[in-house]
Amino acid sequence: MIMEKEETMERVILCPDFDIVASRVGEIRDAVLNVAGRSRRVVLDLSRTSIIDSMGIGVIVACLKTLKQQGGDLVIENAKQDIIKLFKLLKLDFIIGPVGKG
Amino acid sequence: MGENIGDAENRTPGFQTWLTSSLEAVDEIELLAADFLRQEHVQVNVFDFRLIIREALLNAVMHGNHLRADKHVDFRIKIDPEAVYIRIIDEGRGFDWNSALNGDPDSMGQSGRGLVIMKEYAQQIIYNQKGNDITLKINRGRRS
Repeated sequence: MIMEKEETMERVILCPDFDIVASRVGEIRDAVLNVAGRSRRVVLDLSRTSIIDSMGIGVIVACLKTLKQQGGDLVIENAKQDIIKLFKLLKLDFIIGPVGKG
Repeated sequence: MGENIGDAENRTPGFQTWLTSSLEAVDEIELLAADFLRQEHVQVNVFDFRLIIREALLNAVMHGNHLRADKHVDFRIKIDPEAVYIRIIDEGRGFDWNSALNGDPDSMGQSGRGLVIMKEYAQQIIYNQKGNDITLKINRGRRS
């Protein structure tokens, strides 16, 4: 399940309660694109996600590109240290927002 | 489904199974492998171990077998006092792994991250010449 925790004109927070892996990427893509027009920024709260694989990262990058084209943005918040390390390795840590960056 | 492939002479435990070429099967095998390590009281960095297995299996089922239902992936774990060894064999044509491992993928690209991840997180990667049979070494003793 993906919880919508907050929605304003400025940002909407999506909190998936599962790992963002290949078998679940469709759910992430659908949820992000579904709220894309409602707020300027989509925040993915990863406090309940323990792992992301390359397919999961791929869908986040694809969503970010789509939102940017529409004048929006996507950031990750509350990611665990292992996930932050993985984003740094892949030179994608600019997607990690200030909240919970560690 | 699984069977023991432990080396009786060296008393190294092991596990062997196979999976269908689906993303759901990758999830199942990842859990099975983690359970096996727990049963054997093997300490590894759990995040690293899960990630390495996932990336190697995704390469096999997606790029090797192209998610074809009639193709399977062979999965083996072997443990020795130093490390855990994961071997994954698909039924695909293989690929030029040497060029791929030394490439520098676009960080904003749609693919190419799996090999980067395996190279960083595994202590050793061994491919057969064809590129459809990979063995990954993961050092023991790093808990998380």
